Amino acid sequence: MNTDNAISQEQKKIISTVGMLVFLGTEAMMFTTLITAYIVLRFGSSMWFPATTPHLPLLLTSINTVILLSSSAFIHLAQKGIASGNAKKFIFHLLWTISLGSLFLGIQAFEWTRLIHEGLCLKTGAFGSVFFTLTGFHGLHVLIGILLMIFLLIQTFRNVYTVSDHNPVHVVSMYWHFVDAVWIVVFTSLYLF
Amino acid sequence: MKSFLKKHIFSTDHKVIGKQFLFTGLFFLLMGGLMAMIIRWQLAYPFKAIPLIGKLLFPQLKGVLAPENYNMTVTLHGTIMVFFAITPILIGAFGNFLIPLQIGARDMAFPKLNRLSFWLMIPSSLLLMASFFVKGGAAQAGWTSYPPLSSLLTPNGGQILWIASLALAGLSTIAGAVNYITTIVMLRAPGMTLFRMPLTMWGLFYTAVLNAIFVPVVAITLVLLLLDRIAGTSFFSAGPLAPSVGGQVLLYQHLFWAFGHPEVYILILPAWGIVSDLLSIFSRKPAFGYTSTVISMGIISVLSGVVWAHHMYPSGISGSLGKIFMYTTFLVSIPSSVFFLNWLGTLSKGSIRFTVPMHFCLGLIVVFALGGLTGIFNASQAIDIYIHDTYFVVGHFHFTLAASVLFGSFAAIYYWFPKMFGRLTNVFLGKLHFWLTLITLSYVFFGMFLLGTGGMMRRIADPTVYNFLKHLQPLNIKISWVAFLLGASQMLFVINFFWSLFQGKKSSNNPWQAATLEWTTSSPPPHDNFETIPTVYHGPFEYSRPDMKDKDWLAQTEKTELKKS
Repeated sequence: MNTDNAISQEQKKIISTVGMLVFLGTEAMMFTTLITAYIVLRFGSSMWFPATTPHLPLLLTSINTVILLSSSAFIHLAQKGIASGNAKKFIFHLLWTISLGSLFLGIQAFEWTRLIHEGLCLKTGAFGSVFFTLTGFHGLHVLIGILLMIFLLIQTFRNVYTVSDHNPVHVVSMYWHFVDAVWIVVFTSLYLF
Repeated sequence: MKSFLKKHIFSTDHKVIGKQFLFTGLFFLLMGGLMAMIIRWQLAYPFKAIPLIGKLLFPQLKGVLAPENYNMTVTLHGTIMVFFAITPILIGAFGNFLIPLQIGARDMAFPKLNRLSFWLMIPSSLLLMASFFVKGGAAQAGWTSYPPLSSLLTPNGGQILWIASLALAGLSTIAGAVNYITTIVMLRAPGMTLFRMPLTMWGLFYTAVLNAIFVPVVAITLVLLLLDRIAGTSFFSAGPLAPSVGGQVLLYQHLFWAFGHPEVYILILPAWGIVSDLLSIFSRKPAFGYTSTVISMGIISVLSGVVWAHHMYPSGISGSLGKIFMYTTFLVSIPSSVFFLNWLGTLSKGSIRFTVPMHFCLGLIVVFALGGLTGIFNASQAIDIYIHDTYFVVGHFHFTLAASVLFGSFAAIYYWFPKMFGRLTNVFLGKLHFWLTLITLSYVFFGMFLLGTGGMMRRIADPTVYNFLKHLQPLNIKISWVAFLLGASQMLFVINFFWSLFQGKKSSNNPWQAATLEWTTSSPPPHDNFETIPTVYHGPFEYSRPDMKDKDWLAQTEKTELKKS
C-alpha cells in the first residue's frame, strides 16, 4: 500500500468531522419530520388534548432538561481532558456525562410509567402517538449516545487514544451535543406550547 | 474459506462492494422485469392462466392470478425496481466503484461504513423476498403504501416485512450518502477542484445530498405507518376504522411525497451526469456548457424538494395549494432544458463514435425528451384531473425511469465493464440489445399514453370489467406482446454480460480513449487504485484541441500548455 500523499492526522480529523456532520444532518431531517407531523396533527385537530388527558409534568421535565444540558458541559470538559493528554480528567468527566445521561433516561422512564398509569398511552389519540414516539426516539438516541460513551471508556482503558489521535471522542461529543439540541426542540414544542 | 470471507464478505474495497451492488441490482432488475411480464399478461388476458411459470407461482388457482396477487405484483414491481434494482445499480454500484477512481482517491472516506452499507441490503432483500411466503402474502398497497389501505385494510405479515425491508434499505442508503458526500468533499486528488470533476461525480454528489436529506423522512414516515399498524397509534388513521382520534390520512401522503419526489431525481441524477460525460467522450468534444449543467442540476435538486404535492392534486388538498406546486413544478422544466440543450450542444459538430454506450446515450436523449415533455402535462393541475391515476402517468414515469434511467444504467454498464472486469463486451449483441429495447419500450410506454388518455386507470387487475375501457383492450394486448419482446430482449444483455465476463476480449487500460482518472490505471485497477495519487492539471474535457497531433485527447493527469503556432 503506497504511503505517498497518505492522509495526515489533521486531515483525518476533518474527514471524521465532516462525516459526522452529514450524519447529524440526516438525523436532523428525521427529527424534523417527527416535529412536522406533530405540528400538522396538533394544529389540524380540534380533538388534540381532550379534557381527560393526563397533564405533562412540566416541573420534573424542566429539571430533567437541566440535567441533560449540563451533561453536555461535562463531555466538553472530557474532550479538553483528552486533548491535553489528561486521561484522568477525560475519564472523570466522561463518567459524569454518562451518569447524567442515564439519570435523564431514568427520570424519563419514571415519567412515562406515571403517565401510562394515569391513562396516557400510544393509543390515546394523536397526542399519545406523538408524545411517546417523539420522546421515545429522542430517548433511544440518548441511549445510543451513552453506549457510545461506554465504548469510548473501554477504548481509553486500552490506551487507544492519544493527544493527536482521538477522533472518536470528538465525533461522539458532536453526537451528544446534537442529542441535547434535539431535546431542547422536543421539550419546547411538547411542554412549552 | 478464510480468504473467500476476507475477499468478499469482509472486503472494504470500494470496487468489490460496487460489484456486489451491481450483481444484486441486476438480479433484482430481472425479478422486477419478470413481475412486469406477469402484470402485462394479466392486463392482456385477465384471469387466464399464465403460461410457463403460472402453475409454479400460483398453484392454488392453477396458474391464474388472484386479484390480491395482482396488487402484490404491482406493489413489488415498483418497490423492487426503485429500491432494489436502480438504486443499487446506479448509486450503489457506480457510486461506489467510480467515486474514488474518478476523484483520484484510494478508497472511500469510510470503507467499513461502506461494507455495512452493502451488508444491510442482504437482510433487506431477504425480508422482501420472504414477504411472498407469509400468511396473507406480500404487501399489496402499491409502492407508495398509502394508509388506511396499508395500515388498516391489508394483511399484516407482508406489509410489516415490506416496511422493515425498506427501513433497512434506507439505512443502507443513508450510510452510503454520508460516505459519498464526505469522500467527494474531502478526498479529491491534488488539482482536482470541484469544477474539474467529471459530471458523473456531480450527478452522484447531488444524489447523495438528496438522499441524505430525504431518505430519513421516508424512513421515519414508514416507522409511523408501522406504529399505526401494530401499536394502535393514530398518526395517519382517521374515520370509523381508526384505533383513536386525531390522525390525518393526508399527512402520510405529504410526508411520503416529500421524499418520493426527490427520490425520482435521486434515481436520475447519476444517469444525467453519466450521459453528459459519455456524450462528450464519444463526440470527442468538451461537454457543452459544463458549468451551466452543474448549476442546472443543482437547481433541479433544490427544486425537487418543493414540488411534491403535484402527486396529490386530486387528493383533497386545496386548489390554491396545488397551484403553488404547479408553478414550482413548471419551473423545473427550465433547468432541465438547459442541460438537455447542453447535450445537443456537445453532440453538435462532434466526431461521433457510435459505440454501444453511445447508442444508449443517444437513445436516452430521445426517451427522456418524451418523458420530460409529458411531465409538463402532468404538472398542470387542470390536466392532471383527467390523467391522474391513469396510464398516462405510468407512461410518463416509465419513459423517464424505465427508459432514461435504465438506458443510463446500461450505458454505464457497457462503458465501465472493461474497467470493472478487465474485458470487453460483445459489440453486436450490445447494439442489438439497444435497438430491440429502444423500439419495444417506446411502443409499450407510448401506448400507455394512449391508454391513459382513453381513461384506463392504474392498478386495476381487469380492465375488461369496465365498459368504457373495452375498446382499449386490443391496444392492451398489443402492448403486452411487445412488452414480452422487450423482456426477452434483455436476455441478449444477460448473455453478453456473462459471456464477456469469462470469454470477453481482454481490455487495455483505456479502450475508450477517455480523459477521466479511472482510465489512467489498469483494467481492473489494483487494490489501492493508483500507483501514485495522480495530480490533476485540467478538467476532463480536453478532446479534439486543434494543436493536438498524434491523439485527439489529453488525460486529466497530462499537462496542457497550448502551443503557440
